[in-house]
Amino acid sequence: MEGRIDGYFEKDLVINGRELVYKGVFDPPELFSTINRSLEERGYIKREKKTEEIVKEEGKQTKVELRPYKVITNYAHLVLKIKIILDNVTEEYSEHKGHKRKFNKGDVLLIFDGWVLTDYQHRWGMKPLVYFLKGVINKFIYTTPLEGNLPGELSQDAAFVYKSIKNLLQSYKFESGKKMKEEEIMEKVAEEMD
Amino acid sequence: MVERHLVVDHLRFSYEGLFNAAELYNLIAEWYFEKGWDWLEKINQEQVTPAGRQFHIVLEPWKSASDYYKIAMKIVLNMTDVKEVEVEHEGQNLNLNYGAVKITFDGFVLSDRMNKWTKQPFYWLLSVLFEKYFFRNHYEKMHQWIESDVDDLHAKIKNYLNVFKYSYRM
Repeated sequence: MEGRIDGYFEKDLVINGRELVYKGVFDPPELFSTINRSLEERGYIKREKKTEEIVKEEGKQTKVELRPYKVITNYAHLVLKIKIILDNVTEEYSEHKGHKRKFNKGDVLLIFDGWVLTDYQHRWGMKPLVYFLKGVINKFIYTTPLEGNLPGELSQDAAFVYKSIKNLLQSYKFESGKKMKEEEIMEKVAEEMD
Repeated sequence: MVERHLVVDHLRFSYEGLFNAAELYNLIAEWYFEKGWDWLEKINQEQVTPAGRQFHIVLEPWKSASDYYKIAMKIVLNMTDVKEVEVEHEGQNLNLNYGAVKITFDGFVLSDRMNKWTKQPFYWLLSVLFEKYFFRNHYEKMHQWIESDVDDLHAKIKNYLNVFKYSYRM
């Protein structure tokens, strides 16, 4: 089945647990729509795998797992796994430009994993000898442009989605009226310089 | 034999908190009734334990979508440690349940639902050729249909339980 990553494929893990952590106010529907839009822009087919929610006294804990995929050719496709964990989420009203706007406040954690799946119709590559020979040829003699470009493309796609989400989360700091202090900006610049 | 194509593979949903078990069950049943599906309840098990009631329900409703195709779902609904609690809301006492809900959705497209084209090898070959090359768009339509129906039911359950909703259409 398209989009499955637990079948008979050669799975090449390219992105391993890249995290994005954020604490503060945010708007979940806006977060989800940003993810959707950035995935669409990169040509991914959206697929939801799991939703979990626990209602606690401290707030809600929600886990959403997405497995968008992109079919490159009949031979290869790319799969991203995006885990969205929203923890201790409570509702909050913040004033923005004289208007009260409802936000959610809590901890946001996004974890990205990415795989290049090849030979997904389970043909030649799953034979041990063919797999071995292909590996040797790819590594030491000649890498086909298609296979050589796949990990790079996947990394670019993941970076694009990551950046879109980061930009959105950064924007909330200003929207909710909480501007960064000068010392904080200096600290951030110093961190980036290092 | 009828051929079964898996379209939605183990879409999972889980929730822990306050809910109304009977209402949740009725919500699912009503959705199938409204959409004109045929109801098939394979397992409905209930165990009463000191930790609460444990429900295990397996539903396999289906719908004849055309003369040749049938779409079907498999829903495994597990409700664990379900206790009855009384909650005060806007001055009224409500009888609700507290516990964990776990639902797994699978969606299938079944071809040759009357079992006419698989009795003889030649007929079977013809059916495969027509399915794959001549009437491919019919299969695609069924594929989309089951995907959207599973998504719709999933969203309805999330709406009912007031879960943060992720949707493809956002």
